Formats: sequence, C-alpha cells, structure tokens
Amino acid sequence: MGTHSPVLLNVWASHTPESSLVCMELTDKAEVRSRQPEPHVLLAELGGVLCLMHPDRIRVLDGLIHHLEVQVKDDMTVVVVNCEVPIVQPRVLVREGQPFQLCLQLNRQPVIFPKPFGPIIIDPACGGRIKGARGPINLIEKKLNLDVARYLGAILEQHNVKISFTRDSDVDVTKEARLLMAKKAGAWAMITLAMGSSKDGAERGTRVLYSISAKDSLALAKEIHVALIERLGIPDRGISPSKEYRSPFVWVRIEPVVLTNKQDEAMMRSPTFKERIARAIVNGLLRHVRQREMPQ
Amino acid sequence: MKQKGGVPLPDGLIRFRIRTHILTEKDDPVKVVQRYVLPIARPGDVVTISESALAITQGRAILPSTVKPSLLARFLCRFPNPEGSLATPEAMQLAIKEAGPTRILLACAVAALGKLIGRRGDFFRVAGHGLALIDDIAGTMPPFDRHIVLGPRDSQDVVNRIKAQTGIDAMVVDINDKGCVDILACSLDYPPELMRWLQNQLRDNPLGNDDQQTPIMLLRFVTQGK
Repeated sequence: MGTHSPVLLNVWASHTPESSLVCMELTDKAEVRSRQPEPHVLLAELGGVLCLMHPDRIRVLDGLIHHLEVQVKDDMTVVVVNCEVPIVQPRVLVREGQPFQLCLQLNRQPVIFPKPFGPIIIDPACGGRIKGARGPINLIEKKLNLDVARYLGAILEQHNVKISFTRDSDVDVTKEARLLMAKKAGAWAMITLAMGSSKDGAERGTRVLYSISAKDSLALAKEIHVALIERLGIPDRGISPSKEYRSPFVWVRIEPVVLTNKQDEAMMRSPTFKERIARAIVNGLLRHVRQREMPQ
Repeated sequence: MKQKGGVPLPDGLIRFRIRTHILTEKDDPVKVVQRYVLPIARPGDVVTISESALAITQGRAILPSTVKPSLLARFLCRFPNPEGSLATPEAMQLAIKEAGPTRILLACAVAALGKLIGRRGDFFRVAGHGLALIDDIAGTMPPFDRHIVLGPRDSQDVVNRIKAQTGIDAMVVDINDKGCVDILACSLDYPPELMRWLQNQLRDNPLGNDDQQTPIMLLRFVTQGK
C-alpha cells in the first residue's frame, strides 16, 4: 500500500457572491502552475501529482464557472476551468492541512448584479383557495411554487438583489393585486413561478413564458430557459409568448416541470431539485444582466 | 489522545473524499476500493462507502416503470409525508416487497397509534430500518435520480469482503444533510464511545447528497505524537 507522490483525490467548486473557488484535494503538499491560454479558460497544472480520482468533466454552472475538466496528460494532471466570461484576477490559495487543498479563487465581479439592482418581484402563482395543478400522486402546485420562490428569494438576497414577494404564505392574491404590488415597488422584473399541467399525463418538461407587452421579457426568458435546460436535464417545452400580464416591466412565467406528469411530480419532491431550479433562474438572470446595461 | 469512560479517543480525523466514476450495478465494491483507495491507504485507515452507492452496485436501483403497485401500496402511500420517500405507490410497493405485507400493515397500525400520542418514527421501528434507507426519485445523483434506490443488502458481508481482499477496514454509512449519521456495518468492532465520536465527526455530511460523486472516503485517525 501507499505511494510517495502527492495524489489528487477530488476536485469541487463552491462560490460566494464575491468569488468562485475551485478546490483540488490532495494527499500531500503539491505545487500548481496556473495559466490562462484563453480569456475564458484557466489551467491548473499539477506536475508530479498522481491522479487517483476519476478524470472527469464536472458541471458547475454557478454563473461564472460553466464546468471543470480533469485531464491526465503524460505525468501531468491538469484541471481546466471553463468560464462563461473572461476570467479576472485568478488567485491560487494554499490550504495546508489534510487533505492538502490547492484552490483557485476567481473574482465574480464580471457576473455580479450591478448595485443597486432590482427590485425583482417573486410571484409564486396560486395560493389560498387556488390550489393550482395537482400531481398524479399527491403534490399540489401552490405549495411547490412557494417552496421554489423561497429558495429563489434567498439566493437573490445573497447576491444583494432587492426582492419582494407577491405572497410569502398560503394566501389568495388576485392577479390585479400582484400587478399593483409590482408597480408600486417599481419592479425591474416580475418572475412568476408556476407548474405546468396537461391532460396528457405523458407530457413533461420545462417551459418559460414571457410578456409580449414588455421589452426584454423575451431576452430574459431565453436566458432562464437555457439555464433551466442545462441544470435540470429534463425535456424542453420551449419558450412561449403570453398575454397574462400587460406590464411596463419585464415579466416571465417559469414552469420548470409539468406537475401532472408522474416523473416530473417525483422530481418536485426533492428539496435539492427545487434549489436547482432557483439557482438556474439566478444564472439566467445573471446572463441576461450581462448582456445589457441595467438601469440603476 | 482523549479519554472517555476509559476508552481512548483519537485527537482528530482526516477525511479523504475520493471522486470516482459513476458507480453502477456492474461495479464490485471490492474492486472500487482496490482502484481508488488501496494506493493511498495506510495501516489503521478505514474506508467508508455510502449506502446508496453500495445499493446501486447491488442492482437495487429500480426504475418506477418496472414496478406494478398493488392495491395495498396505492392505499398505504397516502399516509406518509407527501414529500417523503414512501409517498408514491411504486416506492411503497417496493417497501412491501422488502418487509412483507404483514409487517408493513403492523407498522402502519403502530405508527397511527403512536401519532395519537405524539410519537414519531414507529413505522420504521416496526417495519425495519432498511425501509428508511429507500430513496425515491431525485433522492440520488444522476443518472439514478430517475430510480427508486433501496437500501443495500448484506452490508456486513460487503465490509468483511473488502477487509479480507484489500486489508483495509471498511464501513457502510448513511449520512444526510440533517446531521444524522448511521453506520450500517463495520468490519471492526469499535467500542460504543468511539463509534459515537466517529458519528460526530461525520455529521457535516462530507460525502455530500447532491452530485458530488464522492461515494467513498478514506478515514485516517490522528493521534498526537504519532
């Protein structure tokens, strides 16, 4: 048993609103050479390091880092960081200890929301007497919409985005009242969270609707749609226009699943899945914001 | 080294999480340990395997479309928490197959009585802890997020085999994000105090519950002065 060279065991990524971190865990001290062959790509070259972990493509999708690749070339192990935007000020951090950690810290400045940003109105559809769609087994739309809304609100607040909810409990709120709340708040955008439903139990997947009366709604819908498809891995029901809200502000309605489908309903039982939906929405928002100058 | 009730406890624990390929029913846990752990293991180390990964290697990840729920399953699945792992007819049918209909019915009756006096957990106490390990769809990482994953079988056998064929002590663990740590099997007979200490060291769920792909971890006890 045993080897004397440092051994790479695991690579993972995490992030705070300020920075993304790629962490390489090794059995022993090692050195890394980092370089940027392209603006969006960072290489971490670990010479003399054995790669014991499975060399893999690791999906990150944190808004800055798209994915990582671990490659073994001759006697060199390389971790490739593929980002969505040009990388700014990468730093190497060393965490002595066991396991030994070599970390690449990437500045998230290019992908943070401009300050101040918002407000974004989070609108969980249904509520109170209006239960919404019902899954084939037992899940009810109104609760799921609120669950996802809470995750979304928490993540946006971490990003210092001003938010408010059209409802934050199980209450009836009319469409007119929701629209009025958004107008009074001076909404930059309203994001309605809902579940799809269909008489065809086999129909499933993700769909995003957008307001035809508000400029930029389509652009936002496209980015959120791409982010959801990337992150959730479920069928694509596309993007559709909607006349539901005639608003002066950006409006999208997100239906991450078709609740009347058994498999989609089952996905919605998982808190991890609901959080993924919220994170994908935030990624879509970030990408949209990057595309344009936002009003302050 | 600390002492508790006369049992010497380690001063610390090093946790080497290892990212593996996606384990399937084609994988043998012994070979997985030989490939990913043997090159770095030292005497005294212990390898942990997550219970869901082990179950998958045993072919216990079941596609719901292959399960035909009985009337009993369709009836009983209404009673657990709607977001729990036995809330679908297919998962409940698999639970009935695992524990037997008589035991399941007895467990439901005891659970119903227990709820009347504010007790929780009686269902699994009677039906068997193995049922608490069932993960419904989306409870495990892709591609098994489309499957119902049962608990592993014969975990003690597995850890004994790993020890015999690799020389490395092993344990099968179930850890969740709520800080619950269950050691289902261990090739070593640890004193209860050491076992409790070890459970405390793992409460932060280092193996992860999302798509981290780290089903195995090598534990190395740290003793000051060594």
